[in-house]
Amino acid sequence: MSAPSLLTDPYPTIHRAFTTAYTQARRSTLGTIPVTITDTATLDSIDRLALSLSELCSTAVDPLAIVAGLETEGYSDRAAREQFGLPDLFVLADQLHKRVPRAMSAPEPRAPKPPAAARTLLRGLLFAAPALYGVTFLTMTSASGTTRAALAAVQILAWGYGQGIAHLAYARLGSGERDAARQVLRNGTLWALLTATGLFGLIELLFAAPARVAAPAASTLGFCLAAVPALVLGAEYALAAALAPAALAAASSLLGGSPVVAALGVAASAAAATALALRITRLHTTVAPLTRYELRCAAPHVLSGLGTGALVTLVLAGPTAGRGPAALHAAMVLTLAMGAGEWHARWYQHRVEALLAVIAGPAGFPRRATAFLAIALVRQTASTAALAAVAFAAFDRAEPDAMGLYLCAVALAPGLLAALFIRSRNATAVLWPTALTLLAMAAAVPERNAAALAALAAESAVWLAVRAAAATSRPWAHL
Amino acid sequence: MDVMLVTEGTYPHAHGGVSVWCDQMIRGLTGYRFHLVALSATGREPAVFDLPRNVASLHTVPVWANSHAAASRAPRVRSVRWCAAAIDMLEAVFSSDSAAPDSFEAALFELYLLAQSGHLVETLHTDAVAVALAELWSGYHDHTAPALPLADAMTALNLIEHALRPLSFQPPVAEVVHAVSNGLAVLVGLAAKWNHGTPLLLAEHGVYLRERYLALRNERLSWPVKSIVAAFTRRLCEAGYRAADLITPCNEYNQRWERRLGADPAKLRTVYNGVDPRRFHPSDTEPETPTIVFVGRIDPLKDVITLIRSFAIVREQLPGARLRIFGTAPKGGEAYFRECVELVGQLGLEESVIFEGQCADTRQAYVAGQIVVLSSISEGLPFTVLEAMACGRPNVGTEVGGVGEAIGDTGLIVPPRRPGELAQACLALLTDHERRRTLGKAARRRALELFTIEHAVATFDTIYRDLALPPAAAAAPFGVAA
Repeated sequence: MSAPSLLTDPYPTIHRAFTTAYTQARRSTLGTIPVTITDTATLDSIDRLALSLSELCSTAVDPLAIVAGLETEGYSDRAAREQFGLPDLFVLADQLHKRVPRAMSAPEPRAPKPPAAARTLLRGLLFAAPALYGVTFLTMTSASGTTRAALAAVQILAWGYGQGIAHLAYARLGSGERDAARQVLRNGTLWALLTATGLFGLIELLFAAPARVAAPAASTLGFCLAAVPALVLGAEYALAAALAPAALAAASSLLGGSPVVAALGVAASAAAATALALRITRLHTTVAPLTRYELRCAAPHVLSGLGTGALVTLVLAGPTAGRGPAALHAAMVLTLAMGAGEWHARWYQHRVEALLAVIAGPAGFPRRATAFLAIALVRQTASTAALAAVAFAAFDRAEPDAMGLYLCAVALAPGLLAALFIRSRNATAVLWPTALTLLAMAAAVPERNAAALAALAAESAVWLAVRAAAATSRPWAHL
Repeated sequence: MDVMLVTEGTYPHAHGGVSVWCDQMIRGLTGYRFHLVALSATGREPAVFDLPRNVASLHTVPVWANSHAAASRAPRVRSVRWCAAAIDMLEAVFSSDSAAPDSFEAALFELYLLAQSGHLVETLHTDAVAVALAELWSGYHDHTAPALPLADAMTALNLIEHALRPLSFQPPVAEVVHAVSNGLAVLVGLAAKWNHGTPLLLAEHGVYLRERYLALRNERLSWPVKSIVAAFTRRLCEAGYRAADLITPCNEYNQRWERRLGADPAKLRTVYNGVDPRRFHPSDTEPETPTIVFVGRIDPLKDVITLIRSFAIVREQLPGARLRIFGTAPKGGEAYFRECVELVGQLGLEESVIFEGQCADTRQAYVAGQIVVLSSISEGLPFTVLEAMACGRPNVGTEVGGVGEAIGDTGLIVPPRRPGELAQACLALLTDHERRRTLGKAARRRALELFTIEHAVATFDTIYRDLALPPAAAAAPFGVAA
């Protein structure tokens, strides 16, 4: 007897049937591929078994996987002997594995989905909700400088704190602990709301801030803190509904409505967001407290949040004591720009994932990933510039000074997006210097004119872009 | 005497047969001090068992959460040696050479040294290792498979990195390491062997690799990633069987897999699980309506769907019959539970199929029916069957794992996933009082003879002593030889 030729397929019928089925199904999901055989006369009992267990056999990673599957289908060594004349299941599985070709060229539908437009834009807007602080500044014109500084400081602290809480929760969600994440969000939000109320009370006592200044500031802060759980847990639509009264209030104050109405609107939103936060963070089990390690990981996020908050607040509000409306408009532009930024970030993520799914090695990755990053940042600058142009033309054409403020917003936007990229990579090593630079810049902000500030913001954007490129150019940063 | 008991995802953090078994053993073996090493997902899971007093220490090793030992860092200086260790390990995973198991263990030892100095992540998350993996994988599939996408290489290496996390744990000193499953738990045993030459006892309830294959089928991973993870797990399990000084499967059936994966038949010894015959004692009375009892998790592995379908057939013959299901869905498995409830609705069995939830006194559940049914598609040596036997109730079970071995001739065995055959077996017993009585008595006798806690505890007492002796004969630590 001669050895079988390598070119002869020992199981032509069954093999061809499966191969044809794969080709027909092209790249559709496995398991739904109908394997049809016309020439059934040549099939033996093992072929028939292969056909009846086509999904198991065609997707098995090796013969032992088929043994495991056969056992759960009720086949035993006895069945292998009695029905198929083979010594045991292991031999039967080997036979099935040989007869059925792998369907490995038919991958699961893994290509990442393009970002969902509405949700993404909404998230972006909500992420930028802290810029609502702008509304507060509008009502502050009568307050003293010290009061304003104290209120702004509380808000910046809250921005950083919110970043920290969000990071802690995301880390726990990442390891599948939904309840543990809820616990962080719930406790974190409750403590923050209590502390903030206390601080506002203190400011009231120390500086005798008028209630019509402190109350809206407090409710804006309340909204921003209570929004964190909804954003982390994906309750964007409910949060958007909670934001509606504040949005209406902002619109009314833009149109020259009463500050009392604005204050009431923001307060209503704060209450609704708090109720939402409490509802979605209800705990089903008791879970473990925060570890020191978790807190240490969150520290850079808190710092960079502080830095960003300080930068935005000081650049847009610091030097504009007497120019409430223009600063507010620039803040709104930046808010909307961050909505667009979320979109650009998703686009970038989508492109990188698609790239990783097709390239066979890491060689070309850094260059292409950096190109995607550059495109995202340029788009961010362009979309902010477009928004700024519209806002300037609509509201502040008569105020030449306002131009500088809009420039600041345009220069800040790509830097904020770059910071987002760095942060979401969890690149702790990159975060520390970023946070430190942001803080240094924030400290240098006062006393400068708007053009100089815009230049500083642009410089920071370039610097952050470089850091973001470093943080994202390794494929491993996208695991 | 100090025993290190290594668990993965079970005792003391989760309910289930393996956890109950660990608790029983520790409580029974009062003369030993246990050092519990629990591999868990995050290390933050609360314990669901009160630890017995002879547990001297509890060490939790997180496999999935970020931790100090494996914190993700930006690349710093990398040593060529690190990559080489990872690549050697992968070569051994995909090699069909007869020396591959040895090379795999040698590479694991190198990785252990790296893990101990906190470099596991940096070692595996490396471009060079990803490139090597892609080449090896292609060769493994005779260069017929499409090139491995970078995303798949990275995902697979990440999963392997997490699987190797137990290597970064410094095991406590003990005289015997008792791993309650193969796989990740064995890494701790290997570390103890390399460090102190501690003998390793591998006690398996299911077959680790077999269960991983079944789990992988349902995981949302691409085919290449599944194939890589399966190949790695297979080598790891082989390493476990080879390194073990004694392997104690809880049934004969599992030995087929263990031998296939390189276990030395001379080191295999079946030790049956045991139940407390005083707690589970027979009842003379039966309920008036014909009642089938199921006790267990409502889980796809228990195939409750087939049970419900078969009960519909039983009802056609015995319209008054009832099916009482004692147990709840595991966390995250509520969808399957809903599927079962919907099926009951579709079949119009709402009145006769009762979901009883968790039963505080399991004995009451067993004696609430004439017969106890287990419809599983995969089992080790299930406590449900043994407890029902101790209660003098005949079982109808599926021919999976050690179920047939446990029941012997004291009940009926049918193939899994066959509602018709399951129904016929149930009807045969439900309609024959005398046969039920005879089988029930035989079941109790068999349980007392083979499946008592005392028996299991005494066996492990002997095994621990034998393994710990003689200390002089212990193997020289691996890789430390002159």
